[in-house]
Amino acid sequence: MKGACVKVIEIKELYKNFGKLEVLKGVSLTIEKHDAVAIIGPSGGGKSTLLRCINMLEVPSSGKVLVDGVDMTAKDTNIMRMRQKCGMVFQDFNLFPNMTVRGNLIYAPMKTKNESMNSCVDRAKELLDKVGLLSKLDEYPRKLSGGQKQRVAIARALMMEPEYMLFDEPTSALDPEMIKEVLNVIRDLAKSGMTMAIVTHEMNFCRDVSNKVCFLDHGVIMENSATGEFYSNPKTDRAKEFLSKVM
Amino acid sequence: MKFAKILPYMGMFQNGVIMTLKYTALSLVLGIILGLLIGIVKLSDGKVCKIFKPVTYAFTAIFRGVPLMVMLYLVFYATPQVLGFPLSALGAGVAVFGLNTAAMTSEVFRAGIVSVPRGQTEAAIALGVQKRQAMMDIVIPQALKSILPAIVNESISLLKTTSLISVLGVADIMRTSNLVLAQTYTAFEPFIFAAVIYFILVYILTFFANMLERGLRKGD
Ligand SMILES: Nc1ncnc2c1ncn2[C@@H]1O[C@H](COP(=O)(O)OP(=O)(O)OP(=O)(O)O)[C@@H](O)[C@H]1O
Ligand SMILES: [Mg+2]
Repeated sequence: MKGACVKVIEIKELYKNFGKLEVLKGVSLTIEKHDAVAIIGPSGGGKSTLLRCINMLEVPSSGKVLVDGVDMTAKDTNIMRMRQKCGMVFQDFNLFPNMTVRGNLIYAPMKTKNESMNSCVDRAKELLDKVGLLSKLDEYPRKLSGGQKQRVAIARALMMEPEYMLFDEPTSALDPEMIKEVLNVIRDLAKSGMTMAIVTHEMNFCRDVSNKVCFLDHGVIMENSATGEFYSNPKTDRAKEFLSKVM
Repeated sequence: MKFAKILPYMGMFQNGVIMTLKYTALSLVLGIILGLLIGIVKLSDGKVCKIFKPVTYAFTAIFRGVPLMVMLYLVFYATPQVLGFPLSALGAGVAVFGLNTAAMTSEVFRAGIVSVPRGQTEAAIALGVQKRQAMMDIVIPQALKSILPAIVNESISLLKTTSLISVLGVADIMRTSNLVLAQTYTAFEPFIFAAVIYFILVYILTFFANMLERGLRKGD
């Protein structure tokens, strides 16, 4: 599966300020096809901001983000079209409470791709089956547990048949007993070759699923290496310190 | 108590009810349309809207701070002095009540939309949906849950407030009771009757509001 290195996402010298606060200070990162990159680091280090800059939920202050070679910051780029290649999963699920699970899943493909209702519903059922929630098709989100909500959110993102996925702490809002069911879904996705970036505090999961680790601290990438290497032999003191605290 | 005394005036009361409803309905329509527009200006980041933003907040502050009776006198008696032509009571009344409703509902619309978590819009646009589309399909349906009850409260308050128009001699429910008092030399019966009419009108409004609210509460 790991063929020639195709660059899906290229981040070059990315800076992001919120007013006077410098959150990202010259971040460069490349994500290749079939990569599962774990982005880890202390709270407030800019992990979410980095992820959100990839699909322009935050507009970078300077620097470049290329997705499939397309400059996301260029004025003439169709951001809506580019976002359709990206599946994003949020910490607090963000399911639409005014729609059923079915409605949540078919909404975007129907609106953006003019797909027929029938083919959308077929795919929705397929994906819900995959995340083990086919029986919840006509349920409203309020009736689901946190773990179920997040699995629906993942299925909703997959409905757009994305080229890559961004996970921002997908299990941080979950009770411990529900974390596993969500991580299993993400693990399966990674195994199937989905390109992804995951912000996570789940170190065992990270070690087990990611092939690269990116350690972000105070808006700077302190380490960017293969997962095995990062855990067995962290280069910087900051990373060592961080690992000793979380492992 | 002799309610029989006011029986001959039922026709007048009927006209009074119609007059009250007319002022309420016209002011409500003006107030909601204008309130929605002002609410959008308050929310918008657009360049043109930004210029008008302070004006909209001043507008709401003024109507919060000045009694409507004073507004009504200002518009009905003082404005013609400046403009050089008289205003009808209907014009002045609907303007004052309508603008007041707009000032209040603009806040209702703004707060309702702001109360929907930002993550909802973000989730939709992250899926590649246009922001405006997400507003229509995701944000507004959720905002309505808090907006509609507040609009109903505003309508109820408006209905009762229109009784102020009686000071300009408009024969609404309130003024009719006054006229009946003058003709029958009895105060208790006509005013109790007016109170009952207002109460029933508000009750009917509330009933429909509750039905609507129940319909909206499907999702949660
Ligand atoms: N929209 C915003 N406006 C202002 N400041 C922001 C905004 N978003 C994030 N920040 C600030 O940027 C810094 C980095 O935030 P970010 O959410 O990227 O960190 P993080 O690494 O994801 O942390 P956590 O692990 O707590 O989620 C924080 O200090 C945060 O307060
Ligand atoms: Mg974060």
